[in-house]
Amino acid sequence: MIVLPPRLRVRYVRVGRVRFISQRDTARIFERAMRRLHAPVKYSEGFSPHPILSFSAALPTGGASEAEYLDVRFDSAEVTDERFAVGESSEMSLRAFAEALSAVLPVGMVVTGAVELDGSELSLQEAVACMRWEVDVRASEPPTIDVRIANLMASAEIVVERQRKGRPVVDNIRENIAVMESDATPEGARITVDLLTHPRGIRLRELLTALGSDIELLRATRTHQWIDQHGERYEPVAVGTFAVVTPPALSETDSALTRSPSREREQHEQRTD
Amino acid sequence: MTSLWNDIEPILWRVDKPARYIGGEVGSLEPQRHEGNINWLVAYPDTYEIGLPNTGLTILYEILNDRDDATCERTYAPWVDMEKEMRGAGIPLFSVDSFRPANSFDILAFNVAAELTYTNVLNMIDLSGIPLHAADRGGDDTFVFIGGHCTYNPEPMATFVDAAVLGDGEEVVGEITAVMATWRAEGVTDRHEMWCRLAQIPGVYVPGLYRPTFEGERQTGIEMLDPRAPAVVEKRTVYDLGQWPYPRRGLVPLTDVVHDRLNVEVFRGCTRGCRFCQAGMITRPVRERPRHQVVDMVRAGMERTGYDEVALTSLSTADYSGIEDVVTEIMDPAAGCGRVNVSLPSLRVDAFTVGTAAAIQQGRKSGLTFAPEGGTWRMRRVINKLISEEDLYAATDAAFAQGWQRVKLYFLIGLPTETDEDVLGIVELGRRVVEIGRKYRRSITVTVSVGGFVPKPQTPFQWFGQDSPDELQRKITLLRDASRDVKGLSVRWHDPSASAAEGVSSRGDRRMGAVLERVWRDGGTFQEWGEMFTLERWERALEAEGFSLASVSERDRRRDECVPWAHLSAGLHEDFLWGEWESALAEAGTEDCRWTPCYDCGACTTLSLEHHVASPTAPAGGSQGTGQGLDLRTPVSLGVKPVSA
Repeated sequence: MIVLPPRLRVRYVRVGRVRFISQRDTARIFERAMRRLHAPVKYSEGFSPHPILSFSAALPTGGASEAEYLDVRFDSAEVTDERFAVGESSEMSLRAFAEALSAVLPVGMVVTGAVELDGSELSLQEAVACMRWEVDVRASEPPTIDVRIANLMASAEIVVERQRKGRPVVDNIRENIAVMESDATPEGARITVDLLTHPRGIRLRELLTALGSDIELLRATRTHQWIDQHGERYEPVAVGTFAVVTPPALSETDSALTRSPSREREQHEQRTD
Repeated sequence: MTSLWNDIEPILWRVDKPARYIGGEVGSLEPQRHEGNINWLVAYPDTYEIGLPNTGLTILYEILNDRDDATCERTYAPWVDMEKEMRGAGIPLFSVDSFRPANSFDILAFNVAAELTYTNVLNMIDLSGIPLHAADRGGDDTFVFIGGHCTYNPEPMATFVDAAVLGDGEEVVGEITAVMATWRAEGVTDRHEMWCRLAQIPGVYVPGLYRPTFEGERQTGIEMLDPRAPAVVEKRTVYDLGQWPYPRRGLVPLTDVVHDRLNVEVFRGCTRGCRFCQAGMITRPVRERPRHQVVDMVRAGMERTGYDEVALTSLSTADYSGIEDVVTEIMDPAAGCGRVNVSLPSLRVDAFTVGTAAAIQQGRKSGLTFAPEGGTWRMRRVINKLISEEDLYAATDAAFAQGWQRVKLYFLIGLPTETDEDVLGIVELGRRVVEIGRKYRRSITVTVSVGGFVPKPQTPFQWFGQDSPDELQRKITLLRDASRDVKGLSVRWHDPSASAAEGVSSRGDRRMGAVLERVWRDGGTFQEWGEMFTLERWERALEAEGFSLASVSERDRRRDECVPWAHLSAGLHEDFLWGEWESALAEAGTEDCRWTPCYDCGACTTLSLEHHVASPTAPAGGSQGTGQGLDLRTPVSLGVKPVSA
């Protein structure tokens, strides 16, 4: 039997051809996967109850990711299958749940970690402050990508026009770019960029447009999302981490929130993208 | 040949809705090919969102992949942006299962359910690199098949396809596979010989073995070019749906599609006898799925797919014997179907049916749709859709009383014998329904949706010349003006010029193939999509081939004229159809033969079958076609063409 905690944060990857679905599609796939599994997901109240699933910042259609997150709530009132219970969970239960969930997700979507939440955490959208993208691009004209990046980083302001509440507004996206570097590749260049999400996020397309209209996007992978706490950043769930809420008597950060570099490297090598 | 994925992947960044092209659905397969397999590529000639939920293709996909001697994969029409990228990069039409090119398959089989998709079929054949015309294909070229409701007049498509398959596909796909495997084993490479062998399979029509003859705008006959070609091709009918519990795996898409829910077919056929309705004529007799199997399929389907909704599908689901028992059982937690919403997509117009719908509707009651089709009782007698006004008012009253706030009413205009009074009757019905709704709530809305009638082959109205787009537009204007002052009533209509173009293929002869080819070469793909359609393109093509809408769509056929589908049979006797036409003119109703004596339409007797229903009595409630409350007045001759020979 798998005992699930009332609140769970799940980490998953979305790679391969399934990356061409939208964020809405992704959410619907998780809803259906939970139903196929008979997982006792808590439903919302109201006229048309739906399972309570909350995701981190939307992944663009076509974008791959090795670090996607999802908060899900379970409710003992929803238990219909003897394989599941809701209560005091264990690392073993979470591992078993991750395996079972991965089995009903499409090829290319795999659960890589899960930690219990105690309910005091910020939502993923609020908590995630920074994300890293690796973007393969090709430019049809000079200058080279690294020159363009240097120019961009040297400027104080990069303005983009957006629509907000039906009105055109102008935003400065320079303040979203924390770090941006590039390496030459046979096709063009691989850009590694850390983007800040607050107070307002930035779309990958906006960033690429700022680099030049001749930029062709070949591949993009979100490799990290980080929560910023007291100047230190950590991942909402590190790869390979399965942990229940640490009993109050013990240290708070030991198991759940410690990164596990070796598992992460392993995962990296398994990329099927 | 191997996967084209590496070529396809880079262009997916640049197209709208790339998930249309990636496959990977729950229930999908990547079949391994083995020596000697016949490899099928089943195709829907419209976008992925429309094609993926098609139950017919899903059934064939599974049946063929369950066989040892066949494989089956799927493809859909790439949208305009994707087609442009594919042609630019030299990528042919491909399967979404293994990304193999279409011309590496033995058969490319299209489901044609709507005539306006024909130009997409041409485009997809061309995108495959297969010769567009069947006559230009050699022994090694992929065979192009069509199946589905439109094949009851396949003549406009005759020059492009190797074969059209009539009726249910479950059994015949296996027979086709076996015949092709045999000729391959024997080393046959002569296309004509292959055609002749295909033509021996009941239900398979090979147009290349026939030559129609014409005189002016009329067809005068059809000649057989080989003695092995049968004089009449009869449709295929699966008698016992219980033997075919498909789909078994189903396909759950990764992205948005229409009808995104579990669909379980509860019966085929319909004997309500609506005279305009091709589906109700060509799919006779009625064959119900056993009740326990329906429940089993729902239970297994919910378990497998993760859907939270199931639709019980058929041409008129409220007519299924014991529909209430089945629904009650599905919704009983003990049945193990889980948290499930049941929807009945085709409601009969009576209060009893609404009561059933209300009992199963969970959550918000948003809108309910009824299809009275005709605006006056006279009109409904002509079309044999025998819904009394009392039925309609009771049904809508029940709907509003149960808490529904939006009611949608479907009507046809351009029906035989239609007068302006019949057209205005539509607004009158709508107005009364608004009044009924306002008793319950001020904010209710009633939408009247009108479509232009297109006469279909193998129906009692197959001889009738359809209204011109101008005449349909005039009637729409009448409706719009009359409804302007009715608060709470909105009138919507289907583009009359699209109905005109549909008519070209609906009853057109083989010469319409050249017209279709011109429309396609002129850029006319996705003609079902308003933004892609212009009637001018069709008029240009017709004119270039010496035809006009007047000579094709709008022309009444004479009874002694050889209709282009005269050698194809859905089992119906021609004199039954003509008799029904005369009854229409006489405004005389014909009852539903499930519960009244057989009037020998031909479907059962020709096929040596009978209705396969669980209950010998008519469903409770409502008068529609059940013989209750039929107010048959003295037949009146209306003096409308077509005339008897």
